[in-house]
Amino acid sequence: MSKLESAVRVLEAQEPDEISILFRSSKGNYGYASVLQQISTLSETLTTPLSVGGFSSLQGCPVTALFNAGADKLIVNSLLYSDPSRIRTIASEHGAQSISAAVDLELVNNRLMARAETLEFGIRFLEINDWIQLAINVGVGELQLTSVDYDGSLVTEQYLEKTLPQFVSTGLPIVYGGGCYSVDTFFKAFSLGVSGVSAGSFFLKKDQNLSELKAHLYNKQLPVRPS
Amino acid sequence: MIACVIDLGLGNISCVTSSVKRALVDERFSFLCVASPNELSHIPSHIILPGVGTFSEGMQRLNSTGWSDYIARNCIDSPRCSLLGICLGMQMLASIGYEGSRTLTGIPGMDIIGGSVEHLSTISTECSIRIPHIGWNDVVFTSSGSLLFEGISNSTDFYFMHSYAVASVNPSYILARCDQSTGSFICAVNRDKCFGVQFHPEKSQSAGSRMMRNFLELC
Repeated sequence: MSKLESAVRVLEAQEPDEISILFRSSKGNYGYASVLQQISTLSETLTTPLSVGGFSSLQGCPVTALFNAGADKLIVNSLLYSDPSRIRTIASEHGAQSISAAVDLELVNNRLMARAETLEFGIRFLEINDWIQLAINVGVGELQLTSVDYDGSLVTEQYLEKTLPQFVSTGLPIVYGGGCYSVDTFFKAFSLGVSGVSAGSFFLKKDQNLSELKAHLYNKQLPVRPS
Repeated sequence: MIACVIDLGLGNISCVTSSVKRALVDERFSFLCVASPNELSHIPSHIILPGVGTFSEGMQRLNSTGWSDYIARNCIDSPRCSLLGICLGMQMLASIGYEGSRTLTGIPGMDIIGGSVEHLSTISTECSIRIPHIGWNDVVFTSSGSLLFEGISNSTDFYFMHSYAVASVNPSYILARCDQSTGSFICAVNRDKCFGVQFHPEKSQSAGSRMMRNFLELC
């Protein structure tokens, strides 16, 4: 069993609402044949929704094969800027719900901006509302936001309160992630109207238990699905 | 007995086939996954019709492969097999669909349960669901005693991923609704040996696995 498969099994046993895998390679883009094989292997026993992403390019990527192999959603970030027409086509063919657009938010001169990075243009910063409109225009069905500055660290309430309402007001499902340090962060994010909270290190590196987290949130009267 | 998954090339096939195979505990069962009814040498006892995509594309493929006629003959006219439509598969049981249609008259469906396929925003204008409807939600039974949900508690969560749903279906065909405090939509139907579920049992963990097993135990 690979490390990925092992990690997924550990997480699935705790009955998360969804599992997200970002395929990243230190050499650049991940080999799609390898990705398809891993997704196929996981799908033989996985009964939990699966999102995949981390691709800097979809060139040569059989997106339909990704969905056929068992992926339910494709998470896109830099692809939104580098290949928007391709994203639009995928959303049109497979449904808006098949694409989740992720944005990294970064403090620039004390203002939160959407960080856009492509091989062609390097790093640019967009106003958050401009990024949101770009994502909506290509037809994505979900928005995810992470914080470059607060990833893995204690997230200030001020940051959450400023940022999340802009996304929630779109009417699309919103997933908040990258910065969940404590149970209170989850609670705050849900209180501000997000549909889901995404966390990795919180569970894998801090050895937190999903069942305990859900119990905490349930006790705070949030409608969580019991484990 | 034969469990047959229809492969229309519309996504998600490996998860559905894995789910069906796991649920086949009876040694008398054999499993097939085929793209055309021409590949069948015997009439299956159970047909599973999955689908992710647009109604128009789904019906175009269902008609061109001959599946719509095959299902009409063997699941409705002279019912010899049970049918389970999942997500788009359930929607194609309706009479007409408006997703992916460029005409106001819509695209004809298989007309098994009647009704139409509409955008969630038009079905329940007061519904608080964010669209696309992605995530887990309550499945509330409208009738008791359906064998499809045997052993599954009322209001159990299942996984949804869609922007459209069936509406205006004959009430006697409705098995369950996805209920919100301010609105709801139909999420499970049954007419004779034909079943449809809007949610994804193959992605709904233990509840979905139980539902799939229940379907395969139907005769």
